[in-house]
Amino acid sequence: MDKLLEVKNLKKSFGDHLVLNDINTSINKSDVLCLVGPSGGGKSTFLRTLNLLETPTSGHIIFDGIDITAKNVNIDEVRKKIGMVFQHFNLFPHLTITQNMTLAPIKILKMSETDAINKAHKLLDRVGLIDKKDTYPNMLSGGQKQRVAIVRSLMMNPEVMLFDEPTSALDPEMVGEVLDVMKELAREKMTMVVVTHEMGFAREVANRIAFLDGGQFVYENSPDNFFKNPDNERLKTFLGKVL
Amino acid sequence: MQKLLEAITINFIKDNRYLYIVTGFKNTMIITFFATIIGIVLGLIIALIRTTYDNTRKLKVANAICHIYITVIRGTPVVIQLMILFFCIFTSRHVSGVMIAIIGFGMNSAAYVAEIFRSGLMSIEVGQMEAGRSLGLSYLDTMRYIIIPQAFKVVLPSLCNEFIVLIKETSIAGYVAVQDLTKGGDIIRSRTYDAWTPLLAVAGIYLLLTCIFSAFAKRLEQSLRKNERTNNG
Repeated sequence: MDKLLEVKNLKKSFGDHLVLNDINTSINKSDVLCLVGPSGGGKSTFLRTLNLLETPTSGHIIFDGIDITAKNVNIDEVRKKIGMVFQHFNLFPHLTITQNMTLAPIKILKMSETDAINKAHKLLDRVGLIDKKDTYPNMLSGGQKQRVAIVRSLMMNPEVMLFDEPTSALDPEMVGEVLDVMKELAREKMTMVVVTHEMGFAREVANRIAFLDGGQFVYENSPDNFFKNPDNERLKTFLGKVL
Repeated sequence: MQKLLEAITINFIKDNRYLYIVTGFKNTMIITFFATIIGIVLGLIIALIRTTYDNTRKLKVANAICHIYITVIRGTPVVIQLMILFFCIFTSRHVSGVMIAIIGFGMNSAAYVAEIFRSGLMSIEVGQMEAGRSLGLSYLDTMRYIIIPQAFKVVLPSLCNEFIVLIKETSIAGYVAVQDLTKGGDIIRSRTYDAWTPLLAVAGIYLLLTCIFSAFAKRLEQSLRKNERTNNG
């Protein structure tokens, strides 16, 4: 197994409030790790520390053999290889769909404009949005926006994709189209860490599910065992509420 | 009617007095134009420093300097600032009054523009910065390609308002021996002892200028708004 990400003794507090309490885990290539748990449990904060959108209070995150929490690390270099998809899409409203996708590859990877546009259009075609290539984000539905956000990240050829509740802001009928794109990514062996409330998706796509509560990985298992034999009282209570 | 023609002849035609207005208009435009440029550039720099400090707690010293600058400039009358520049700092006569007015109004405007830009930069939701950074763009590149273009659109109306204020504010340039539009009208008044005609003419020109600028600003705003016209969430 190739270890892609390793998290050691990770702690994060906001003021006096300890949000992540000594997390240790590792993520292998092609893992699909789903993080579930009650809100305030630390799922999103954990995900956001993985690309240092939140700076850990203490502990280490080793990505591709590099400790990215070290002071001399150029975080921009690291973030090129870590894609992130947000709950609220965060598309750039002043740019067209194509420009949203090509900005980073052109500026950072020094990709030529023609190559970047070609690549963007191929990806848009794959997620069924090629006819939207020249429109602006606010003309898209939520599901369409999130599909664009996913392929925008893919433009950078990331080694891992982080999803922060990617379907939570969507109308129910649009959840499926986004999950379908994510399923396809999983089939292509993309490494993914997904904070989600979609238990069906977690069961179907993840190879590992972790239950976060009180800032800790309280319980982790394969999907089958996670749902069938949840060997933890807090998890049982949680599953009783959401299933 | 006869009287009006007479007044116009005496105030503007006789002794080529219209030239006072022409020269004054030219100086007012020069001062406003260059002061605007200084105001935008300096104002944007100050706003970026202050926003960066607010977001990241970096640039502490620079932020403190900017803070003092804004406090002093906004807390004192612009006419005093001009007179200090003219009578205390640039005492050598190699620096023209117009130049001093450009520097003075530019620095003054920068303090206000900085706060306008800062409110614009702060109005862009955090997610935009996070999205840019998570793609690997640096802080400055994210500012440049993502945050500033959006913030600019937000602040455009206030920015235009600031420049309408600036055009009119330059009318005190006469205090530092600049013959601007107002001074031009005033000179005519002192020669002809007719206050109505030259002052109304000057007022009319200011009004026309600000109207033209407002109309231009409105069109610019509309063209920037194009990608927002349809909104279905």
